[in-house]
Amino acid sequence: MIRLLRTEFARCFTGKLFWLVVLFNVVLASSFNVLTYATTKSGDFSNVFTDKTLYIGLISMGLTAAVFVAFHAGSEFDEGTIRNKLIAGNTKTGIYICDLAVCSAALIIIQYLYFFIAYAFSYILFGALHHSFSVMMQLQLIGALGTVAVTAFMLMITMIVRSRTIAVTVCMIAAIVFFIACVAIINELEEHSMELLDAGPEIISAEKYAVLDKYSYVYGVDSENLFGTELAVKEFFYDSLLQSQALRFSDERSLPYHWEFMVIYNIAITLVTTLIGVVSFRRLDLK
Amino acid sequence: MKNLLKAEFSRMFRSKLFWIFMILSVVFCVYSIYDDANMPAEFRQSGQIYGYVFEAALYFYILVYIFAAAVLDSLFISREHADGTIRNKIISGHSRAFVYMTELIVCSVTGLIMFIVNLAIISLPFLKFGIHGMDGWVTMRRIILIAVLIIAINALFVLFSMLIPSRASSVVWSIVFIIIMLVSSGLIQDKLDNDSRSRNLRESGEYYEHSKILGDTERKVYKALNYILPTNQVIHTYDIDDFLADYKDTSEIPQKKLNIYLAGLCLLDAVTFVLVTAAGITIFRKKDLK
Amino acid sequence: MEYVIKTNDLKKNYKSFKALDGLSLNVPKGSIYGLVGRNGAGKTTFFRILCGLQEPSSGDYEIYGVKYNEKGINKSRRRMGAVVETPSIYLDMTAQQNLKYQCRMLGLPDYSCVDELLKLVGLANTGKKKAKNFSLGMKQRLGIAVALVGEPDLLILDEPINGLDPQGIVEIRELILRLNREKEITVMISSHILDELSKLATYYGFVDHGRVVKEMSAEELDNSCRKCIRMEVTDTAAMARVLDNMGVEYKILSETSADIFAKLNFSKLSDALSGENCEVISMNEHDESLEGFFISLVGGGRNDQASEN
Repeated sequence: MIRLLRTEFARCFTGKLFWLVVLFNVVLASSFNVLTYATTKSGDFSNVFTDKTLYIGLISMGLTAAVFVAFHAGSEFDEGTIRNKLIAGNTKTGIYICDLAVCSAALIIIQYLYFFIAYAFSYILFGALHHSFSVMMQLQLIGALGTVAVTAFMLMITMIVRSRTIAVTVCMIAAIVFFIACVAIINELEEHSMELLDAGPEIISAEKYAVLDKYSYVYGVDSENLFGTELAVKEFFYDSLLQSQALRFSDERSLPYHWEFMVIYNIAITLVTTLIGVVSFRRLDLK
Repeated sequence: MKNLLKAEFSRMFRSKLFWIFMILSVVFCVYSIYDDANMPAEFRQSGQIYGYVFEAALYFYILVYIFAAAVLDSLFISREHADGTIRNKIISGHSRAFVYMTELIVCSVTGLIMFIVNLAIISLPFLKFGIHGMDGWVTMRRIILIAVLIIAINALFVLFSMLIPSRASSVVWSIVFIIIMLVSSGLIQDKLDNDSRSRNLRESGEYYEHSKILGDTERKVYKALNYILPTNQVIHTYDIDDFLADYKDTSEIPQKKLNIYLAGLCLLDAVTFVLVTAAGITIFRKKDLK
Repeated sequence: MEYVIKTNDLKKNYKSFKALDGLSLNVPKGSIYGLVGRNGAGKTTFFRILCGLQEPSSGDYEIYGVKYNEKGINKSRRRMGAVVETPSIYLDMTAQQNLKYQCRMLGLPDYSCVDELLKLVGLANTGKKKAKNFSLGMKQRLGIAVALVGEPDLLILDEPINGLDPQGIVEIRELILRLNREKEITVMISSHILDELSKLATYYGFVDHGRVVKEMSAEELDNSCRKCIRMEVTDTAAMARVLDNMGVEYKILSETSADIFAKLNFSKLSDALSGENCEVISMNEHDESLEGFFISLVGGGRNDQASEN
């Protein structure tokens, strides 16, 4: 498997795909700050905080992972090169884990590259940021786990579908649907919080109210419009979806409330999707 | 070209892809109106409420359609490159311009058919609730604009699909393009809204952020883009009359004038269509096929 | 003689690479024209240009007397059917649907030719099987069937027997011969299996490095293909010395065999070989194959170089 890993890393970093995605992210990372700079009247820079732009890389990681994984892993099926690996004696599990390792590594590199370029442009052009650097690095670390989770999910789809075109279509649609779902869930939970803020002690206890006041959100408290399983499911997605995590990172000035759950969910998603992916891939016939 | 059209239409209507998208769009439409369509009459305040649901359903339809068209057009057209069957058309003596136009017509007509089917579905509840309270003129303008946008947007995706031989790359470029367009439209609209709000605050003597007020030239450029870009028009299908009237009081503007403004907008879309198609045909003519 | 295809100094460059470098040939009407060349000689590029898939960088060509940049070229192309490189078929359609699609595209009034064509290429029993589930040979046959829709006068086949089993090769050969003889269809065919081509072609064009090295009829080729004596001996090095002294053209095939391209007094040769302690094991007359002729045409001079070294 070490030989396979080495070969796969070489294929990844010498191929056009990785560098194209890097270029795209470099342009993305620089363009938001440059555009803001160009359209802000001089003298007003001190009032400009571009923290949100630091997390756009994570917000768009779903789409980036969809394209990268589908093209990197999916092409092997279209071109038939996956057969060479099997014929050379590698197991399907080994091939799957290698692909996961390589795609995760590449996407984490892209994630950090985006962050440092955006940070550099923000700092140079505008100077100040709300978040401290150490908080940002902690958030990026949680984000990296999220990146691995998203990669694992996209890889599962790709290896089950076994076609580059269908994989990229399904993965990109999934990324867009998750993004829309994130925005809708965040809005709904914000409204839910507002309701709780105005609610009396019969709805929310004093302890929970204190948490709500401190963190702008409290988990597991039913309101008139949102309760029970629906609330639990939405809170699960609120913590587990990478786009939701990234949107929360950009809004808050310290580690977000419930960040430990984000870490646990990211690891759990990685393990579950990898297990499903490996089991399915082992059973499926290759042409 | 008639033969090409017949052949391509039959391929489209036989393909699984078309039927999957048709079913999904019907399901989406039914989902977007289901709760309101099923609401018992005693809970309804007035027939106007379904009118709002109808307008919202139209708006969400076109927003979702632009993504669906990106995928449908890319997968349908780039299959010709992947299977090599585009060669048969050229070898058979059909000119490249006709081959391009055929794909464009088929994709646009498919889009319109899907729109009509979905329009019919979301209009069904009017039989239950009646159409009183609905402004026929506004609805007509909205429907016409959406139909024209469907054709203009298909022109863009056909351009990508005809020039990019790889199916997967074609899908990626189309989706990324539409996302960039939507984000740009959002940013342009944001700039214009902030400008408008800040000017109003300035006029009423309240505190405003000077940086959010745009210069005259800047404002003109953003407004021009706001009218020209198809995705900006998509966003404004919801408040179409305000958009056409440049956010002046529409009660003071006669319907005829609003219709003329709509005609102007459709003309802009037609120009976009012609330019994109001409560029596509020109490049496709020079392209080496394998 | 009437020519269906005429090309004049066709050139095609891909950036710095010259795929065609002044290709000129003429395809007589009613012939089976075999295009022979190595991998990368420019055969497929030439077919692509002929089919209108690509434009030449310079030079011109005519199909049925119409120049490629004239208005009527599309009409000329309607008289043509082609399979270039890989079969152009819709993988998510059945064989019948593929042919019906082609009929519709050509504006044929009905689908009466579909069943006949499927029978002709041996795909009559494929039923509802989609083309993506066909074997390579079946895809190839379907590609040929699609090219035959509309009864073309000119058929261009780029390595049509790729992936076919021996029976399939025979069937396609007989099909091409039948189409040529009964329907007077001009066929332009390229193949690497030169022996197979030699059973079909009535004219040959030998292509190397993007240009036609030689054009000739099958008769001329027969006359040019050299007869030789193939000898098996115990020591070809000794034999080489003897033949060099005699000033005779020869070609060493292996450590023990060689071809001699001359009429010789074999008693004298035998004596000379005995003098070099070289025994003659066998001797028989041999015709140079198309393969041999082709190699001597495009790879000639290698033996001279080898003997110099």
